Amino acid sequence: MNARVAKMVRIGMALLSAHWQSVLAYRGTMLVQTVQKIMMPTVLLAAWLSVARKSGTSYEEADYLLYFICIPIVTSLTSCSIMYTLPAQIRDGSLSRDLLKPLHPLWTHVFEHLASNAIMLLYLMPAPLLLGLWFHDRLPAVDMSPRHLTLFLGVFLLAIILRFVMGTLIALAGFWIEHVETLNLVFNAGLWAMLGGMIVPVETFPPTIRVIANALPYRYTLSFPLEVLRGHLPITDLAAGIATGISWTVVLIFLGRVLWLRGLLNWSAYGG
Amino acid sequence: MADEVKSCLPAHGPILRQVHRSNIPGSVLHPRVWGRYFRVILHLWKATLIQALEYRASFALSILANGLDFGFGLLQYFLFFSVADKIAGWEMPHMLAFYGIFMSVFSLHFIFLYPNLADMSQLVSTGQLDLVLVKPFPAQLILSFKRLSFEEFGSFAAAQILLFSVWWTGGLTVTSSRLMMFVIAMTVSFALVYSLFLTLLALTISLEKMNDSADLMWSIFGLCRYPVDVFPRSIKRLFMSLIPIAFVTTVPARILTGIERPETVAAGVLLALLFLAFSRFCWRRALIGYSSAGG
Repeated sequence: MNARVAKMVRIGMALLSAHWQSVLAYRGTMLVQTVQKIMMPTVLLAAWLSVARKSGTSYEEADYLLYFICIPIVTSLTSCSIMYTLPAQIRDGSLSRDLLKPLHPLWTHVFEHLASNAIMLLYLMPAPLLLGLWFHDRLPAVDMSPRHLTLFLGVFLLAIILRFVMGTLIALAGFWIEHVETLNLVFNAGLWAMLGGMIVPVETFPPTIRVIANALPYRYTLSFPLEVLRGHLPITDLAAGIATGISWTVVLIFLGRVLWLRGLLNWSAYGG
Repeated sequence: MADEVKSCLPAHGPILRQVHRSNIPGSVLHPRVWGRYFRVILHLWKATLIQALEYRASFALSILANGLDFGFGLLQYFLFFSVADKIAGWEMPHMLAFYGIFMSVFSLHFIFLYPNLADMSQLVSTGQLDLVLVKPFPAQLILSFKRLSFEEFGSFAAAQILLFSVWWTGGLTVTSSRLMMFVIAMTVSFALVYSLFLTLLALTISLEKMNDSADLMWSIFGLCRYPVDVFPRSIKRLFMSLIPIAFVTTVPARILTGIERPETVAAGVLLALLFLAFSRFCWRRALIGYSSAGG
């Protein structure tokens, strides 16, 4: 068992190293993506600082500041490109090559995801750090106890896994339809931004929409980790959120496995 | 003239010695020729439509997705106003008018400019730009408008319906003077968007490895999604002058809501002319410096 794990770690490190070099070759692209990731939260932050808020909302100015300064960090670590790379492999037949390797083809995408997101974080960090320094006297006090930080990191990890699984499901639709961009635009961009909390923290949604947002997986990939970081979630909401996030991850992984096996049976590359 | 042509051409790009005179900086074409050029562009658009209709299901799905995207954008403002009364002094009907204007400019950019900017990098890296430059056709015109993205027509129509419904429900009061100022402000807005597009087109030629210019332009539109009034005073001043983001969506929307002065529109016209001249300068420099794929 230990030998298998050690082998897996060696393969993982080799793939990570290869992907890091590949990602670093596209420095200009990374810079443009960084601008994209920072732009919207910064505009929203400015918008939130200028609004006349209704009374009775649980978020104060300091909470919005913390939320929108941290959003680029969450989006940079949770975003993935498997929706573009896997369908391209399915279309041009290069998936056949990966199927012959002694490693599940999806692992390559996992390591590519980790490598590019780690580099993206390096590009991105100066902006939230500068904003954090600029507004340091207006930010709320965050509980930095090991217990709270462990909880936050656990929920953040869940967000990374869930968003990757959601992206993989859309990518797997590429076995049946030629272009999955439309599916991605609707389910992984539009709905995600709306119900995930890109515009407004889910905690501040009107009650009816909040019920829908709580039931769907989007919240647990963006708003939920930041709500946990803020530290004002009641213990029941926290437990329900973690349970819903884990449930969605398990269900979608199962669905992904079914789609992968059915897709492979259905698929024939060039010349097939 | 011969010396001028010679000085414009790169030292190592023999194919470009046959470059069409419309692509030589300083050359002026007869106005009647433009009618012929317009017909060619129409033929190219027809070809794009036929190509898009080859994949009907994908085309229909894209239109549906863009329609949903418009709806999501609209819902964002409703969510915003569920916890706020005003955004930097903008009330709900005015913000809806703002969104209508934003989507009009954004969708027109997406229909006419985005697909051409997205193609540019490939044209440069594969050397196909040489073929465009030697065609008896102005390169700027053909590279700016050769392809259309029909999927966004739905968003444009939806934006017009939204603007009309805000006006119909009394959210906007439109007078003839306001309408005239609005038309001028929208022309300024399109001119500024086009000048940014042309500058990025020129940069793609000059830098050769700029694959993400279309995405960069898309990102810049993110700044136009909310009125510049949301930003601190110093940034707002910057967006009203050196980086004239305000003139793309905020100023036209402020005119419709009746809170903009004519002097601002006049300043916008001046800025648009300056930016167009700058982008044209960049374009000419890029063509002069272009040494083709093998250069």
